[in-house]
Amino acid sequence: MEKIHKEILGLMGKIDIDCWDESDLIIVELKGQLDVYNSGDVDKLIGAYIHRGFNKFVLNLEQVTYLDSSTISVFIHCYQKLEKTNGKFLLAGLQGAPKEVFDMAKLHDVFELFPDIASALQSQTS
Amino acid sequence: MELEIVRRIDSLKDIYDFIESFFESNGTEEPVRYPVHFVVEELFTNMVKYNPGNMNTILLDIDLEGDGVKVMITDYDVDDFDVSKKRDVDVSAPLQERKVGGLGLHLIRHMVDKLDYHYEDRQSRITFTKGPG
Repeated sequence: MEKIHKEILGLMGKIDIDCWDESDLIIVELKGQLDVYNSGDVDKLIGAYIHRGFNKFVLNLEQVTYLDSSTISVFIHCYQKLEKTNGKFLLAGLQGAPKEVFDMAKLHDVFELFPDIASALQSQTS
Repeated sequence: MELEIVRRIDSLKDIYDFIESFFESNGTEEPVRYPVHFVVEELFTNMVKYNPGNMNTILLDIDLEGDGVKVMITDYDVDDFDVSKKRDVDVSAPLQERKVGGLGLHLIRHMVDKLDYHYEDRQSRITFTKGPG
């Protein structure tokens, strides 16, 4: 499939989204700030891939500098949708303040989190 | 510094710019910036969401307090809802069973140093402080 690039304005700036597939996995690379203005677009994007039959996703959050509770809602919603079809929703590269938010919500031990995209991909091939 | 805010989600951009301008003027550090933006966004979004028919503006006040900041948000003609009160949010539940509601308030309480709520004559005032430590 063709690589997709989108830029969506948010409250604090914008989020850059790059998506591509690697065999049956969809990689979603996010750069910037995720907030109430643009987190719903990530939900829609993943929903569109699910509609096309994909059910394994890796989100690279290495360059995400802000996320709020609306973003967490989107992640939980995606996870719950994919759980029903034995899908995968892996998060990679979470760091800094966004990681602290995850820790506070005690989400670090319920989502499948990986230090980087390479280890997330590795987990699906081994 | 004070800002009178129109009660609609689009006002979040004005709020963000207002707080950033305060941070820039005062050289506020990043460990304060993130939680202040997060908490104000969360509280304001709830005020809009749960009182959509209320036409009153909301007042945001931000000032320096020690090395950090003190933020006060006043809402008019609203029901009593104590955001500082601990609520049952099961953060240990498996993800399939997680409910999103209440998570924002849970996070807020953990992000700020002090959170106060005052309600009188249908006016609510939420005050929080956040320092760099």
